[in-house]
This record gives sequence, structure tokens and C-alpha cells, in this order.
Amino acid sequence: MLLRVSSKAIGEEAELGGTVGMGDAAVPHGAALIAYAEAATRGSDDLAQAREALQAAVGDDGLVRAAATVGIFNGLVRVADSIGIPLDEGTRAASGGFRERLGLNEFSGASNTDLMSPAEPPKERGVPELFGD
Amino acid sequence: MPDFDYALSPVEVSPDLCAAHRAAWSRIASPGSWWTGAQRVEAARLARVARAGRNEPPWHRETPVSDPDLLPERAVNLICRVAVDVHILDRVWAEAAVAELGDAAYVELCAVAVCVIAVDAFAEALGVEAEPLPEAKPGEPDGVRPEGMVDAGAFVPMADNAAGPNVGRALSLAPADNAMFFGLVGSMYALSNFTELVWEEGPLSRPQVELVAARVSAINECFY
Repeated sequence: MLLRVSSKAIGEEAELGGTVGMGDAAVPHGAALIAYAEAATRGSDDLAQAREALQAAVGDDGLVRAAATVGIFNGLVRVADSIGIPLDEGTRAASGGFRERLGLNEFSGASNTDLMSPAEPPKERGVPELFGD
Repeated sequence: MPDFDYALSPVEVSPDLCAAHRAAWSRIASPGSWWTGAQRVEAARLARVARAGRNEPPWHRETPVSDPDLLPERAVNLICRVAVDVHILDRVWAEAAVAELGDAAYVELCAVAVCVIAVDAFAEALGVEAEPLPEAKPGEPDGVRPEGMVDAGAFVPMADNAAGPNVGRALSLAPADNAMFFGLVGSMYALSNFTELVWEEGPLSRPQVELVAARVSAINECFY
């Protein structure tokens, strides 16, 4: 969700398929970022290679930023799923189309959110509106 | 106390990030509200060991050995699930664990596990050794349960504030540990600039950061 809205905010149009392993998301250095996120999260044998490629693409500071994002999101997903929090209402309303398209509704954690009740029609949103403010 | 200076890192790690990791380790080692420092450090160790075996097929994984006098079996199972199989942790299992451990004690263990995993995942991503776990600090849990918690549809009650994302209040039954985790969030992702769609500062644009975040979330099969 934040990928889409932050991309639009700078006049770009991210392809959300990149988040589920389809394409480079139409984000600068998207392929290197995705390969790195995958290798680091899975701890796969190609992590060193993915790290080197990303460092060449985005520099030292970019690599640290990406590593920090990998680290904290491996924590954040565990907070969400261990506590069983439902999707925030604004996000639920705005994400119906791509959740269906990307197969996200098939994830086990979808059962923590009531997806059947009516949602406000999607509209252009900033970050606060996505999370209920 | 560990250094967290990332001296062997191939690239420089900012002092703010090192300080946040140091603060998390210090908090993990301290008595919480429901678990002692020794129990919390053991929880951290179990989370680390379980995560190290995450690529093993479930039928090959062995539950890490722990002293039953230190942590009950349900706590050990909770920590391992959070580390490896959190995407299939469902309401029935969670409610059974909450009934046995207590809701705030459940949340405290989750918080310890997720903090260790966030810090360890960062080190692994960067290509450096994981920091040694801290020595447990003496003292007893204070047994304080925060007031004002409500049923917001999660497995456990959460703070009654509708503003902001649910993930921001998910750990609110363990307020000091929620603060520990969001200390990490602030240094590793965003805090004051969370609501800004355009990040002018920093080596990656916000869409680049969000792409990494979303891919990590999808690999973990996180619906939220």
C-alpha cells in the first residue's frame, strides 16, 4: 500500500507484482532490491551476491538502509501475526483490488480481518488515512 | 554489555542505529512485567536458534532445548512459532497460549522474540556475525498490567487509540517492550517521517524502501 502511494507521490507508478516476485516493480534498482530482500529474508546461498549487486547499485548507505528495512520488517510481520491484528480500515478499503490480484487474501493472516463487511470506497489517500486517522 | 559497533561490517552503520540495537539488548536483559531477565534472555536465545533453522522443512525441525524450570513448554513453543511459523499462528492456538501464559506475558514474549529477530536479520542481511546475547540483569518482574486496554479484534487486548496503524499498538500490553520495538522501528525504518510520502533525505527513496518492506512481508506471507 505504501509502495503504491509513495510511488505516486513522486510521479511514478510502481508495479505491485514486484512485491510477490513478479518483475522489478518499476522502481529504480527494483530488481536488485527485490533479490536482496528475498535472499536476506530466506538466508539463501546467493545472499552475498545479492548484497554485492545492491551495494554496487545504491552505494554503501543504500545497502545499510536496505538491510535495516529487511531487519525491521522481519520483526514487524511477526508483531502483526503473533498478535493477530486486523488490517487497518483505511488500508482494507483501499487495497481490495490488489489484494485479490496478488493473492494476498490467501495468506492465513487474512482470517484476522473481516473482509466481508462493506468498506468505504477507495479514494486517494495520504498515510494517515490509510491507518484510521 | 555488547558493543554493537558493527566494526566488522563492510559498510559503516550509523551511531543512531547502533544505539537503538544497544538499547534493545539492554531492555531484553532486564526484568519485564511478567518474565525475569534470565527468562527473557532465554527467550531471545530460543528465537535466534529457531530462526537459524527456518529453512529446514517443518518435519526436520527440532524444538530447541530449554530448561523447563526457566520457561514453560508453551512459552518455548510460542517463541519458536513467532520465529519461524508466525504466518500460521491462528486464533485458536493463540487463545490457548494466552489462557495458559496470560495475555500480557504472551505479548512480552512476542516482543522479545521479534526484537531479536529484527536485529539478527539486519546483521545477516549486512553480512556480519550476530551480536552475542546480553547477560541477564537481576531483579523480579513488576507484574504491572497497563490499564485502558480494549478488544480491537486481535488475539489480545490493545490500547484504546484508533489513530495510527494497529501495528503501533499491537504490543501495548507490554508498554516498555513496545517502546523497545519502536525504538528499533525509528532507527531502522521511519518514525517522525512515517506520514511523509516523499523522503528527501536518505540513500533510498521511499518507494525503494517500501518495495523491500513489501517483498519481505510477502515472503513471510504476512497479510497485514
